[in-house]
Amino acid sequence: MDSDSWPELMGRAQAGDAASYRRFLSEVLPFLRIVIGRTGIPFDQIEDVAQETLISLHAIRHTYDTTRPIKPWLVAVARRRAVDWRRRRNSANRYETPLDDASHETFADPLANRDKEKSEAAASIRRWLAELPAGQRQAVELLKLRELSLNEASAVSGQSVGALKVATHRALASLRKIWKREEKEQDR
Amino acid sequence: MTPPMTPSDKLIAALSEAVVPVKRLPAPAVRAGKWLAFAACVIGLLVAMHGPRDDLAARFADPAFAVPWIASVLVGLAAAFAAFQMSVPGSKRAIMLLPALPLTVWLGTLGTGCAAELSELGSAAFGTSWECFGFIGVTGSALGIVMALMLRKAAPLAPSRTLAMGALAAAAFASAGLELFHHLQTSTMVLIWHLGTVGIVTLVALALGRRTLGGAAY
Repeated sequence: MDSDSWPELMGRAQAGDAASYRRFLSEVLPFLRIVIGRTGIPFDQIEDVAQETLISLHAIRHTYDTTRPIKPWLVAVARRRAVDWRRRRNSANRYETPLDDASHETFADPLANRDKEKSEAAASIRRWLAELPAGQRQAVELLKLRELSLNEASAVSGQSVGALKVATHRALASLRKIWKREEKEQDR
Repeated sequence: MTPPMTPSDKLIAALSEAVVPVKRLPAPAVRAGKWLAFAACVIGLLVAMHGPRDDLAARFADPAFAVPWIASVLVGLAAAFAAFQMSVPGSKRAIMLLPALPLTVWLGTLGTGCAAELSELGSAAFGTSWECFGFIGVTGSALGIVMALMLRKAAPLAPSRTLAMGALAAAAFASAGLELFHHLQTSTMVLIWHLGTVGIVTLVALALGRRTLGGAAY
């Protein structure tokens, strides 16, 4: 359907014809989106402003004169809603700060937080390792922290590959226990 | 299978279900005509109450009085028509310029008379007339309030400019009415006390427009 019949549909809507009104609103909605998009409203906000325009059109539908072109009437209302959206956003920007990912960090700079978290994690690991028996601590340091192969770790430590595997397994189990114990202590 | 309804589809469905017959707003020219008739009655009544000045016929024979007076009436007519046009979305922005020509003539003729008086009379051309200020201020505001009530029935999307235009019409008519029963000695005084008050009423309306007309449903 072309826009020439919109005045006709609106005229019937003014008389209370719900079906014509529904068709009119459905047909003008894409046109409103285009008009609002051209005002520079962000893409994700166009639908909201278009819906506000529909509500305004409903409130002032008695002001449309069916003998006059309808597009200037639609465009004027859509542009006004876009201006109001900007005014609201500017007002909100004056008093509010939107939350973003950085808002959940301790420092505004995410890199600074990463460094801080790294140093905190390293301190925890050092503390936990200190609690392990010497054999297990050495196995973790060589295989997990320095990332040596089993043969290299065996050559460095003088322990057999099998002993290193067992020591690593026991060390990780012990670390898990220590970590859980610390978590419980923090929860208290 | 029909696709699920989007929020916009739901809104359209709700609005169309809620639709009831509405009385279409009369054309701006018709509404302006109604207000002009009301304003003419009020001004006519006030002139009758005060009694028209004795030299009215002679004054109208003098272009120095007749031209600015007719220009002030034309400013009122043009501004009233423009205000009602502006109250309907989609009107052309150029409609705001409608009163510009008669306003220029009004200002120009009074300004020319003012310049001649100043060279001839000097400071004697000046004088005070708080009566003019009060009459134009009160009558212009009263007519402007009636105009605002009528404009609210439409949808003035630029409320400040629309109300200022209405106030210009109201104050210009009040000024023209005042000249029919009140005598000011010089064009300089008319320029200051009549046009000055018209300007003040218009500026006050410009400042109050958003608060007065901006709170409607649109």
